[in-house]
Amino acid sequence: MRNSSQASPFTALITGASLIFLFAPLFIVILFSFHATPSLSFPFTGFSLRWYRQVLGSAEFRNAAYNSLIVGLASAGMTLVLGTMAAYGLSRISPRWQRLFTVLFFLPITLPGLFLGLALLVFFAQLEIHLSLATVTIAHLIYVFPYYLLIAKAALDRLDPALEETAADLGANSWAVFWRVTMPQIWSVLLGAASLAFALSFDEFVITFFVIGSESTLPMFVWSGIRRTIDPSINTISTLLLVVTLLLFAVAFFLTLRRQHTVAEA
Amino acid sequence: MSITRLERRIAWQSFLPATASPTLLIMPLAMLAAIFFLAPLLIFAIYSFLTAGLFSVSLPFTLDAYKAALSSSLNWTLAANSIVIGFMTAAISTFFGLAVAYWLRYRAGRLQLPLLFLITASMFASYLVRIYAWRTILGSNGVINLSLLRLGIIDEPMTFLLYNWFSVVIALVHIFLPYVVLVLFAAFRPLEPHYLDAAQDLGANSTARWRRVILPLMVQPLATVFLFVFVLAASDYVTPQLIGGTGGQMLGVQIQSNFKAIGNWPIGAATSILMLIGFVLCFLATQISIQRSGLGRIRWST
Amino acid sequence: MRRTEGAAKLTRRQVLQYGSLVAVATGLWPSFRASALAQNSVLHLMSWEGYDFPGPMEEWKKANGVDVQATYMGSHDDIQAKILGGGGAGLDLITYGSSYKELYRELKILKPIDVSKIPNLKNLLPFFGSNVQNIWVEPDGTRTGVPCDWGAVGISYDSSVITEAPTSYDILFDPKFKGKVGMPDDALGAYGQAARVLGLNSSRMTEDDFTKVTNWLKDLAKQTKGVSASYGDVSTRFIAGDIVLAFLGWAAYKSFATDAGKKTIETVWPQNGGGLAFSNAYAIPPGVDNEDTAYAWINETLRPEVQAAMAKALVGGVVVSGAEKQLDPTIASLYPYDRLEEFFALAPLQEDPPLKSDKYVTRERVLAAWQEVKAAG
Repeated sequence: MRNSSQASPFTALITGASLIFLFAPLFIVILFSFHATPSLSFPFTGFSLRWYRQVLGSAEFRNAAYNSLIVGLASAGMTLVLGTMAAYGLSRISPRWQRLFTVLFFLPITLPGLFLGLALLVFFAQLEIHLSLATVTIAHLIYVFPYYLLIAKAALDRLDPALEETAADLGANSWAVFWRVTMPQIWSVLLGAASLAFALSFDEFVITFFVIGSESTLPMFVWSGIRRTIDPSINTISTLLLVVTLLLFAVAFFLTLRRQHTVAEA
Repeated sequence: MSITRLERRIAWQSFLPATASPTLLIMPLAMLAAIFFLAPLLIFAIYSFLTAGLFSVSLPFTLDAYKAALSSSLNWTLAANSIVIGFMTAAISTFFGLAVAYWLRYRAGRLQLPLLFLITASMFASYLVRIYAWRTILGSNGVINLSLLRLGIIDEPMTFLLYNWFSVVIALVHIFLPYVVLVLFAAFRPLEPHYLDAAQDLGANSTARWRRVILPLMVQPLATVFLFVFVLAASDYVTPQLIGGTGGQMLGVQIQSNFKAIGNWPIGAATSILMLIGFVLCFLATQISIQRSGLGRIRWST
Repeated sequence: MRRTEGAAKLTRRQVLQYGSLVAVATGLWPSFRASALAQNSVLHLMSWEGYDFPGPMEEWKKANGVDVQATYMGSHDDIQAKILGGGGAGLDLITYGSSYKELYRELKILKPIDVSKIPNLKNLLPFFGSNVQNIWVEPDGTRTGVPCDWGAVGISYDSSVITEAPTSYDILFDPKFKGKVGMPDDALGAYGQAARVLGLNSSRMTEDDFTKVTNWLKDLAKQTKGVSASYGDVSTRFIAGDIVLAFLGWAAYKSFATDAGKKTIETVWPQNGGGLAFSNAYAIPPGVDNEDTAYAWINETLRPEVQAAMAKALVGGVVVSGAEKQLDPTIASLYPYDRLEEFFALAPLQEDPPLKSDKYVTRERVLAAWQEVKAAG
C-alpha cells in the first residue's frame, strides 16, 4: 500500500491538464446555453432561459428528439435481444466457429463510420430501398452491436461454468439454466450495455448523415443548425443531451458496476 | 412449487427446443451482419470497378476510378493531411490517455469512480457541438484571445489558433481522449498495484518502472488504441469542414464530395478502398513490428 | 385546433414510416408506403434558411391550418443527395438555383408542374414570365420550376471596420484583410462570380478560362482562413468578428446578423467586376406527399403583398409585378425594376456548366477543381 499511494507528480499534472482540456469546452457549451444574446463569443452578457424556451418550444426539435428516441430504442432493443442470443451462443460453440463469428461480429468496429455510411448508402440505392428512419435504425444496429457484444461476451466469459453445469446436472433444461442461473447473474450488465448502445445511437452523426431520408434526428437537427447562422440553441441541445446521457449513464454505470462488485464479493 | 406454476412452466418450455443450438442463437445477428455489413461492403468494392455515370454506375468493369484517384495530386495532399492529423491525434490522445488511465488506476483513490463516470459521460455531449465549441474557445473573440487581451499579454487577437490542421487535431483529441482513457484503464486492471510495489522493492525507480514493467506490458493495448484513434481521426470528414480552414482539409471530405456533390461514385469508392488498404497496411506493420520485438509474447500472468 | 390536428397526423405518419422497418423485412414495403401517403396539412419544404418565410407566410399558414416542416440545406447538394438516395419520399417542395437546372433535368428531380393549379403565375414580371434561358420551362412547354426570388451576389462587408463601401473586387486581395475574408462552400456560385469578375462565363469556359478562374479562386482562398461550410457559416463568422469581408456576398446576411445583434453587415455590387444574378425557383420533387398544399403555397407566394414581405425578409428581389411598388424603399432601391432586361444583360442569371461537352469544361471538373481551391492554403 505504501508505494501505490505515493505522489506521482508527472502523471497527476498531465491528468489535471487533461481533465481541464476535457471539461472546459463542455463548461463553455453549458455556459453559453444560458446566454442572454444570440452571440456565441465573449463577452458573456448575461443569463437567460430563452434558448431553452426556444428549443423546447420548437416542433422541429421535439420531432427530431422523438425520432432519435425511436431509433435509439429500436436499435438498442434489437441489439439487446439479438446480441444476447449471439453472445450466449458464442460462449458455447466450438472454438473454430467462435473465431469465425468473432471476426464477422467485430469487423464493423474497425471500419470508420464514413465507409460504413457510404457502403450502406450504395447498398440501399442498389436495392432501391428508400432512405428513412428504418434505414437509420439498421445502420445504427450494425454500428452499436459490436460494442454490446464486447461487454456481453466479457460478462458471460466471467461466469463460473460450474454453476450452469450443476444446474444442468440437477435436471434443468438449457432454457431453465439460461433464465434461472445465467440471467440473474448478468442481466444488469446486459441492461448497462444496452444503455450504452442507446447512447451511441442517440448521438450518431457520421453514418446517419448518409442513410437518413427527409426525417431528422437530433444530431442531424444540430447539423442543420450549425450550417445556418448559429446561436446558443445548439448549446442548449447539447446540454440537454448531456443531462439525458448523464442520467442514462448513471444507470448503466452502476448496473454494470453492481455486477462486478457482487462477483468480487462472491 | 405449486402444481399450476409447474404446469405453466412445463407448457412454456414445451414450446421451446429442449436444447437451443448455439449456432441457431448466433444466426440472426450473423445474418444481419452479413446482409447489412458484408454485402454493402462488397457492393461498395464492386462500385469502385464500375464505369461512372452521373450519380450512378454502369458496366463495364474498369480500373479508371483507381487511376483517377491515384493520379490526382489533390488526393495525395489530402491523404498527407489525413495521415498527419490522424497521427498527431492518435499520438497526443494515447500519451495523455495513458497518463490519465495510470493516475486513475493507481493514484486516484476515491476520485476514481466519479472521474471515470464523468469522463465516460463526456463522450456523449454531442459530437457536433463539441467540435463547434472550439470556435467559441479559439476564435478571434474566443475565450483564449479575450483572456490574453485582458491580461495584456497580447495586443491583437491571435488568428492562428483556428482554421488549420492543428485546430482539427485539438477537436479530434477532445473527441477521442475519453475512449483512450477507458480502454487503457481497462488494460491496466490486471496489473495490481503490488506488482509495481514489488518492482520498486527490487530497486526500480519511477523511470525504470515505466520502462521495464508498465510499457512492455501495455504495448499491445497501446498499439491497438493508437491505431483505432488513427483510423477514426484520419477518416473524419466533419471536423475539417467546420474548423479545418484551407490547410486542414482531409481525404474524407473529398470522398464525401464525390458521393454527394460531384456524383462520381466509382472515384469515391476507389478512394475509400485505397484508404482502407492503407489502414490495413498500418495495422499489419504495427503488429509485425510488435511481434518482431518480442513484446507481443509478453502475457499477463493470472 | 387545426395545428394540433396536423401534429397528431404527423406522429401517425412517423409511426407508419417506422413500421416500414418491419415492412422491409417482410416485403410489405409498397403497401406501407401507400398508407403513409394519407392527406395531411404538413408541408415538408427543403430550402435555404429563411425560405420557409415564417413572417410573410404566417397568416396564410394559420388560415389554412398548414404546418411547415422546413429542412434547411447547408449546400445545394443536399437536395440531390436526399432525393437520389430515396430520401426525398415525403418531401413536398424544394427550391433550386438556376445553376442546377441541367443537373436536375438529367436526374429527373423536377416533376412537371400543373400550371392550372397556380393561377397567380400570371403575376410574374415579364422577365421571369418570359422563360428566359429556358430555365423554368422545357422547350416542349412543360414547366418544371416557378421563380420565387432573385438577387445578385456581390461583396458583403462589415461597415464597422470597412467604412467606405467597396467599389471593386480588388479589396478582397488587400493584404490588410488577409485571413479576414470569407467565402462559402458553393462551387458553382464561386466559379460563376469569379468568372464574371474576370469577364468570362462559367457555364462556357474553355480550358484557358478554367485555369484563369481556378487560379483566381485559389489566390482568393489564400486570403481566407478557409472556405466556410455554408452561407450560414459565413454569416456566423461575420457575427463572431472572424471575418470582415465576404466573396459571394449575400444581402440576407444583413438580416441574419441584425437578428444576432450585429447591425453592420452590408452587401454591395461593385460596378467594376460585373455581377452575377441568381434566382431560386420552387419545384415539386418526385416523392411529393402533399401536392395540393405545395401548389397552394407556391400560388400564395406569388401574391404581390407576400412577395414584398418575402423580399424584405431576405433583402432580395421580387418576381411578380405590383410587388415592387409595395417594397420598402431600401429594398426597392436594391435593383432597377424599371429596366430589368438591361440589368440581367449586365448581371446574367447563373447557369450550370455543361454535364457533357467537348468544347467547354464540365460540371464535374469544376466541382473537382473546387476541392483543390478549398485546400489551397
